[in-house]
Amino acid sequence: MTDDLLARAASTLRELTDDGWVRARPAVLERTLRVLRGSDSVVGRHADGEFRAATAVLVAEVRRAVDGLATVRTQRVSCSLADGGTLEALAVEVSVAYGSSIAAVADDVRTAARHAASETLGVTLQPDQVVVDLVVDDVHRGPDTGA
Amino acid sequence: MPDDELARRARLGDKQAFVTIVERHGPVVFRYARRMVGAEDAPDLTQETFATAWVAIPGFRGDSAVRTWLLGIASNHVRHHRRSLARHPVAAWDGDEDERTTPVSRTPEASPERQAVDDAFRTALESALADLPPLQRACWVLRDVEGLGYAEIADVEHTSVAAVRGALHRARTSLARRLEPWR
Repeated sequence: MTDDLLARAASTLRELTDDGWVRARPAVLERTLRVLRGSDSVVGRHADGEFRAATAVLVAEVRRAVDGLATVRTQRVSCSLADGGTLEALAVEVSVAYGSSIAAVADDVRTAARHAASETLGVTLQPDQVVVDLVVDDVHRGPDTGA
Repeated sequence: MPDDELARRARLGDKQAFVTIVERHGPVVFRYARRMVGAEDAPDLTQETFATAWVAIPGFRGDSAVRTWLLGIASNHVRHHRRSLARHPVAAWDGDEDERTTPVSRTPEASPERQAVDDAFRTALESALADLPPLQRACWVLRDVEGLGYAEIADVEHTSVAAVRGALHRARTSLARRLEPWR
């Protein structure tokens, strides 16, 4: 765009509508924080009996736990539920830091994911109760490779 | 934190990461909405855009930039809005009434005469923009105001790069003609 007049027009619009965003921002944030993703519910347990939690909550907790590992970035987490809504399996897709041992990472991811699911659902989940399928679908630069 | 990392976290349910995306890209989505549907409906359209994005982001694979993806969602809502208006017509939008009365962020030393000139220019620009066909308006706003590339605009507007180039050329020509008295 070389026309000074049109450049002035574009600049005018940029300046104007920033004021509009400032006014609209609180309502946009409030609405965004209220929106829920539709998801299945998974059965958990507490002292008074069973409860149900959205699988989206479980996914978020597993993501937080797996991302806590130094050499792993979670890409996707999905849950498989048995009839009745109990957790049957977790599928965790991750990216691992270049040069790290995938076998060691796999163990860590499975342990972290299963632990997070146990904490979230209030039941101790053993490997024979909940399978954690792991897919390493990418690599990234790790802390010791300058990332 | 880069957008792709925020998107990754938001995809996995991290709402705070998504809020950061809203804060970062809210202004551009709002500006686009404002130009496409007017001041009254822009806040609602912006809310709908981010509400849709939160629900849809698990399917976002990062093939495009987050900004482009969000504007594409906004563009879909603009089309829906236009179809709704066609089914339930209301008074046609003729520029942004509230912007004509909302003070622009001005330099304190701007003289009353200068402010009057700026206001009149803004009114003329709003009117000229409102008269552009939607695709031309969208292309001009996204290219000249927001700085998107041709391919990104084509993604947002679900059209071809050639169509974007053509619409942008026609938009610039029309706007320059309408604003000629201000040269």
